[in-house]
Amino acid sequence: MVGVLAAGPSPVGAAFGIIWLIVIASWGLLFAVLIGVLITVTMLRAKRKRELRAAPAAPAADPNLPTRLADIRRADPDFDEQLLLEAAQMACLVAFAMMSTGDEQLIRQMTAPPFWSTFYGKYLTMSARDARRQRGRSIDPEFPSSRQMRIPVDYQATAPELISLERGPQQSARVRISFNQLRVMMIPGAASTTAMASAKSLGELASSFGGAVGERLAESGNPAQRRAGVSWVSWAGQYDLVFVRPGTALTDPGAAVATRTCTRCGATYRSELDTACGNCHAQRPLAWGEWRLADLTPVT
Amino acid sequence: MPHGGEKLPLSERVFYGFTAVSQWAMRNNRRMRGRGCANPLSCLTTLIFLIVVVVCPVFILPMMLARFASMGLAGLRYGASVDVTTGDEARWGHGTLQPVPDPARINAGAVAIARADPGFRAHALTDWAYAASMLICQSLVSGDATCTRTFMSNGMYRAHQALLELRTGADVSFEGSWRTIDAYVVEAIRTALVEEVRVRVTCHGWRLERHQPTGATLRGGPGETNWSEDLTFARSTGTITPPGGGLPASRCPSCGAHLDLNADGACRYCKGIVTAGRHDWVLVSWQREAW
Repeated sequence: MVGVLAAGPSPVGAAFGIIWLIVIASWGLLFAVLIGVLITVTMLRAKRKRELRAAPAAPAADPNLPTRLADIRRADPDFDEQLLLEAAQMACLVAFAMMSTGDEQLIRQMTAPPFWSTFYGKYLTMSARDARRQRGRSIDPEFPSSRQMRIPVDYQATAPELISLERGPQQSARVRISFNQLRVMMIPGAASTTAMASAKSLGELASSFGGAVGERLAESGNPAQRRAGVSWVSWAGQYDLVFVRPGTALTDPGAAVATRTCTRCGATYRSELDTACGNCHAQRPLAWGEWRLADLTPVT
Repeated sequence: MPHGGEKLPLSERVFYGFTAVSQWAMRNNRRMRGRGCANPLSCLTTLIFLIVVVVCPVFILPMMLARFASMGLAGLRYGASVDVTTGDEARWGHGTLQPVPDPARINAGAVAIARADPGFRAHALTDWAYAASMLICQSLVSGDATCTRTFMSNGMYRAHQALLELRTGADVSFEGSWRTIDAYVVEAIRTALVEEVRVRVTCHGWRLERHQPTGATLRGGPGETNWSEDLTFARSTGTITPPGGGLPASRCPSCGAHLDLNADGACRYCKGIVTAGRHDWVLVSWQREAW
């Protein structure tokens, strides 16, 4: 390469030299970025563990909540906190569905625009985009295992709890919920590939990366091994979901009973995840009215 | 490639284009293997395959850096707080039941509930948990949550139905048969807003989860075994047991008629939504230990 650059006169040689330099620099930068991210995340994880050990339990529900509920009921006689708990349960499940299938429609309907500029909004968007990419990938009939499959298997959640309620120009409610979602990855070298997502040290990252590449190469070279491996990915934690609605909004008592059949044409919705009537395409109303998810934060 | 001409940032488009080329090269490289260098197409695909491997960071880096820039430092901070586990740790960590508190605390919670509602009987909920566990099994096997409508809260019912649809869409099937052999209260709480009773049931039987297209067994097996499940029932504080026994006794807690609910959880006679937790106990959480 140095010789090519030193030779100088050939523009083709110079172009190749530059490309070669870019490639080498990219490899260097890629490793630097990966190592930097891993070190930062490892340090942050260790710091978080220390904080969790030292910190008191997460703040409990607002002690003035009964008074606030009474206040809001005076202004909105049909207000029902159970609808907020229902919204929280559905929002977590729908986020799980979105990350598995890439379908964003329902979660878009359930969220306020600011949600998409929060970390979890962006994280969900990227996960959904990746899921769509995997789903849209054509399958090679000779190598069916070449397709990566992310299979949603299970979702368990604790009972949601209303933590706080605020009135003002915008009404806001905070609901706490713990959930654990489980997915299966079916892909050659599944165990090593998934292990990269939870690597806690450079050694773990390197060994899982090497393992994944090695298993994939072995799979491609040996027809007898053309079978996808199975591994598991789980996301668990306790989160606070913040719901907002306009300050003047009132609860529609009919909304909760209009979620099964289309109010316009009377057709029954085909799926719990449908956002519109399959018959007349009218938008499906949400049981919790105008409440929209605006933020999701981990409880430390 | 992304669906339906979705508008993507340039860095993502570059990455997806690169992915498509690399997949094509990989596939053809496999096919051409063994045909030797005499075949010009074989040489070409091998060359492209090698180039793709060598230049991959040029295409991956812009996508990675754009994602980092979009997330910012907060992304790393939150990323460290997301509890993602993988492999066996994920599988066997899914479904860890909460520890059982001190019996005195359970008793104090039950007494507090009974003081406000003299009609409260814990055994009505443990008996109900027996039946609920069986019906949940039925819903998992059939992929239809309708049979759980009479005891699940509206939010839980919708989430359960959505999960079943999601699993069906991913070709995950469930087979199983079990019976509940024991049920006991492991938590009773009364707060200013809500009353909760958690019942732990012990089941005996078998369950098997498969991915249909590949035939892969995901969880479980045909062998019989024992396991535990936690069913949490809740209602709004201030609610009292209806005269007819309410939902656990298959009676509408609002009008007392024989229980007949529509899909929204509304009584067909009085039209009241009785599965929201304002009228009576409803199941708000179901957790099963890892299997």
